[in-house]
Amino acid sequence: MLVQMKVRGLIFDPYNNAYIVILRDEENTEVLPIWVGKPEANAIGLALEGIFTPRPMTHDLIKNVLDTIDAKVISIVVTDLDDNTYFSKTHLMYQDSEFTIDSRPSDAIALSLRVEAPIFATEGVIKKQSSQELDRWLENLKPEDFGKYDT
Amino acid sequence: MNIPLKVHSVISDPNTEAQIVILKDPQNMELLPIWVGVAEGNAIRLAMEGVSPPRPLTHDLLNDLLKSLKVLMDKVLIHDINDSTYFATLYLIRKKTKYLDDSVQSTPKKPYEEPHEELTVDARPSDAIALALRMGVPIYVTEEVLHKKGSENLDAWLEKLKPKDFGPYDA
Repeated sequence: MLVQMKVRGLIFDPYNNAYIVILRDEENTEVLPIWVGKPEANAIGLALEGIFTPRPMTHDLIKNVLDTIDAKVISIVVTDLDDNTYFSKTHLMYQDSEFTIDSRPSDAIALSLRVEAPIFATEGVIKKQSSQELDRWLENLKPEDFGKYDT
Repeated sequence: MNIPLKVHSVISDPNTEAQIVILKDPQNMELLPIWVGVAEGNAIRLAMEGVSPPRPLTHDLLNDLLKSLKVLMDKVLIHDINDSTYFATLYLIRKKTKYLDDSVQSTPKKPYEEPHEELTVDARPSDAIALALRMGVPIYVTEEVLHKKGSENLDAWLEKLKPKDFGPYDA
């Protein structure tokens, strides 16, 4: 089953020197943190802030290409999580046929925000991440992070 | 007239964080240096080295999209420069909708023989080059831009130069 997700935030992860896109479901019960690279985080940030750049950035170009050829992004779906790498599919409608393209979630999210396509995650990936991401956070914690619980 | 260019190299500009893509005209040995961002410079470098990353990067995604939808690209053209910013156009070829049903055709035709239309999309040269290398299509520059670049790029270089860059000539 698919759960609709919304981009709720973009935060910097100082431990990994990377950015985390926070996806949440409508009821705010499920959270999907996705680590992304700097250029993709920039692309997502610009779309979240509604900033238009004087020249089209790479994800703007993808949107412009799709608009020009008259292809429409129907949805993007975060489908799998394997060894901390998320996988997603971009679903498109073009000339009365549906197409599915493998993509990184970072690109898919940056594109979905520009074309206003809904973002979904499979229930399986949400269940999987809750265990894997916890491991990852725990690995990155340093002794001082526990400081406030010492007293 | 449009002049075909080959991507010669991507180098780091020591004065800024940017990367410079060096395009070369094979006949006249003219050079066209274009400043690009780090991400775009890396995207071009990976394509030049023929490296396929485990997951599709952003330009790979665009390439995959066009391939899946069977949209072809004829060429990219760098056609303008304004205030040190280059402008490029992607020339896409799209099969016409009403001829989409291949099943009625007895013999398969090459994409160019089918009824098609050419569509253009505005792009930064960095994205256009990164995509052209992935799709194996030629990169062109208009003669006008190639000749105009001389002075505009010189200005850009001069603006970015720091006093220490003149060091070796002081003595």
